[in-house]
Amino acid sequence: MIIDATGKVCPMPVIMAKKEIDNGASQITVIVDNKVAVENLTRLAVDKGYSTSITELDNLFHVNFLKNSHVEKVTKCDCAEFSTKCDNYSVFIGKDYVGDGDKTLGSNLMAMAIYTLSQEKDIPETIIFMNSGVKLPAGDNEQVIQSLSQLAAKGCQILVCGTCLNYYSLQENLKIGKVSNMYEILQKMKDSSKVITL
Amino acid sequence: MSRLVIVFESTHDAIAAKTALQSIKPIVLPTPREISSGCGIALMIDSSHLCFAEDSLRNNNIINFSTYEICGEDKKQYIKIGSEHSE
Repeated sequence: MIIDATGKVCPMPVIMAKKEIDNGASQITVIVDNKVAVENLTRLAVDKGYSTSITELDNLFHVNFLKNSHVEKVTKCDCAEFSTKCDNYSVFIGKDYVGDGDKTLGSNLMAMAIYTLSQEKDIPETIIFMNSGVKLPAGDNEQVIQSLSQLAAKGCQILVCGTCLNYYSLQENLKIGKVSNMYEILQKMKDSSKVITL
Repeated sequence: MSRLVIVFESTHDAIAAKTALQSIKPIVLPTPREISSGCGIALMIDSSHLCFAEDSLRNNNIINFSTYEICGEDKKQYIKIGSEHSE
């Protein structure tokens, strides 16, 4: 099956592919016109138990999905007896400052918050950046970048909205984290036992 | 590498201090719980920058601050090594 997702904005290519995957397709090709979509589709494939190969043709990317023989990865835990194992939390950062009011204070508070998270033993499973929040992993604040790097080294997954990076023209400036999309971001939030918004 | 924490009486002083010391790239962090301070924002610097930091703060009219040395890793202790306050 071939899905033409050229001209479609994120997260439409992922939604279109997921629909066919949920319908049981074992092999699909999604045609997109940007690398952000390629990365998001690749991540969807891994999450759903598919391998991918990518070919580039006439400035378009053909992302070929092939279902693996092993079982699809379980991302949701619904076993109450194992609730302690599911006690994960995520942090959502939707702007590059904390609170409303003075932006200088807010920027410092954000740097402090991320630093403090990086020093804790109980680190978040995922940190999600959207809207002006993407300026943090794609910006020049060395303390923030270092703190995020420490978190990533400890196993924290850092997801950065691709649409937002594109909007602020920061795609080439991302220093830490993976480009993500609305579908994956919402799924991560749903999978978390709690989501903290800074 | 030993580090120092500088704590302030006011948030405005802390933020102004961060700017004054930007050449030595201080880490801005919450004031450690073990330290009583009027302000929740503290700065952490390398101990080798102590003299430069103190001079810079005074030159920028930041005169109410205390300096603590950080000892230990898992269980940190903060030992006061200096204090300056307006009269």
